[in-house]
Amino acid sequence: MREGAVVMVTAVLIVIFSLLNSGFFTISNSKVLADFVAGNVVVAAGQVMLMIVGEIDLSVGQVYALSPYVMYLVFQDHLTFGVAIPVAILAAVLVGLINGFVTVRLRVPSLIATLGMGFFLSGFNIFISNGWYQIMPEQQPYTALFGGGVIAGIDVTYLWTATALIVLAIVLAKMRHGIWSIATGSNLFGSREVGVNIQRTKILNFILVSVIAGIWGILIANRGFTFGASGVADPAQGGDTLTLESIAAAVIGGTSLLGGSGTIIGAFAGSLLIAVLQDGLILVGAGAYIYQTLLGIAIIFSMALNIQARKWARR
Amino acid sequence: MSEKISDEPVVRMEGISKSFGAVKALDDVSIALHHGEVLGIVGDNGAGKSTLMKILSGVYQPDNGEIFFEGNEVRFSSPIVARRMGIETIYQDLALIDDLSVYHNIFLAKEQYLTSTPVFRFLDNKTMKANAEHFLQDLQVDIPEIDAKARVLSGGQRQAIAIARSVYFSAKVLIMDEPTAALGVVETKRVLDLVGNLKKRGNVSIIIIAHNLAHVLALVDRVIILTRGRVIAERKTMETSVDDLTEIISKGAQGLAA
Repeated sequence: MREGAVVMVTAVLIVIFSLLNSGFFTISNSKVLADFVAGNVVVAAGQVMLMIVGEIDLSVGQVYALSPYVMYLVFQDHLTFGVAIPVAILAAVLVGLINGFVTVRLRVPSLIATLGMGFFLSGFNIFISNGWYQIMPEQQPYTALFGGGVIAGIDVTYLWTATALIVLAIVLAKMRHGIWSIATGSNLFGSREVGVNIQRTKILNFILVSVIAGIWGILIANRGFTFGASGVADPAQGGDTLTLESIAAAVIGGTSLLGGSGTIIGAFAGSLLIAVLQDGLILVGAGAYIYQTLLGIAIIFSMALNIQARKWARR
Repeated sequence: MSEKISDEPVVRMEGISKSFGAVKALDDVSIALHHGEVLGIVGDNGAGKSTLMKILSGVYQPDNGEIFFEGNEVRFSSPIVARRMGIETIYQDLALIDDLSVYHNIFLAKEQYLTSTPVFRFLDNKTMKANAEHFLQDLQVDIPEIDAKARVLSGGQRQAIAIARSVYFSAKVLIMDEPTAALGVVETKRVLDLVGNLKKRGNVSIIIIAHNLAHVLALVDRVIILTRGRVIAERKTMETSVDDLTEIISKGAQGLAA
């Protein structure tokens, strides 16, 4: 229960920030926190799935911008999101497939393969957009369904996020893919020896995290519509900040970079901690640099705790 | 039909030779393994025990000779082919997954499901857990808990789980390469007891390679002694002793040296 420690730390932070600023423990601020978590946590959970098989994806932040922009462009040609959204998601599938293929088949470490993909997509996103954001057109029911609407009083993005987290947790605990992912990351050769398809398991997780980044990029691009403004297809959406925060959330939540372990609830706890830290520090008037400094300490501390806990368990 | 099965050995290796460069590792070796038998293969370092077993498990291909499995001539081009026929090798550095539970380890890549739909199936963790627990109890394999992670198991427990896994999925021949070499006294007894239990059940035939002659004799029905790539003697367990075997091995070595 390594997530337990993260939850404790988060709770302590919430108490501290509430005492320091009366605006922290309010409904309007909890919505700010929820928005931050909803935008990041599923990407972090996808990153957890990939880190469980011993790999990592440094290009998720760029896919987060690519998919909504592809959606915008295809809409300009076909005039229906019924085509544009599937094409945008397919673009994310393709990126994940290439990341997986380069890592698994060409044996380029995923750190390098996805670093390259991230740089490539940064340039590609600027290229297809000329570096400018565009106002996202509105077409129902797609706009409302994909991030721009409210269902039963709940922001549709929250519904997507809650559903995705539950589904991923079920996959990890109750489906073969989850068990095979843990096996692949824990003991690559041993798993192959007994018949686990380690290549397919890894590639599926590369596709999974990429598709998540694409879908949540679309949801966030459409979010403006939920509060009466319009959505924006922004080539700078997400970016390296999202990539690094997704990895930070996973690591803080107890996922090991060495593979074999990680939980969805941990990704949630990590994301919430990052959100509380970032938002709380702004509310108490600390500068952005303090947030980064503390986040840095949190990442290293969590990882050290993680590795020591593993050694401890082995005794 | 049943008579024929009891007559014909499970495995028959005939005239096996294998060289590595100028070194003749095996020279015209023939052995047979009968149904339900536990066969020991002993000999000094470099006698060719491991090479012979690697040929049987498909890791190496022989230069000469034939292998018969249940009466039919077979060629094992890879360990996968041999395993598919039911020949399993239990190695020292066992292929258990540290981060998975005991029961997930036993059912890894042979999972049981709640539904029979080909995709989006849910694992039947409950049934796998119950089956694993029941089977391990049957074999009197002692483990802390069925959902304990393999990481917390001792060397002997890991060995036992690996053996149980092969037997559960109907291995016909088990090859154990030095099953007790890295284990302490209690742990060794654990593995020896398990082999004893398997022997009682009788539906699997076992080949044990070992240095420790006392361990071998406690378990096996028959011993084959290899020296420098040749079979120099064969003894029924009833008719031999540790001293007898030691003498054969050392005499064999001297004889060939002279």
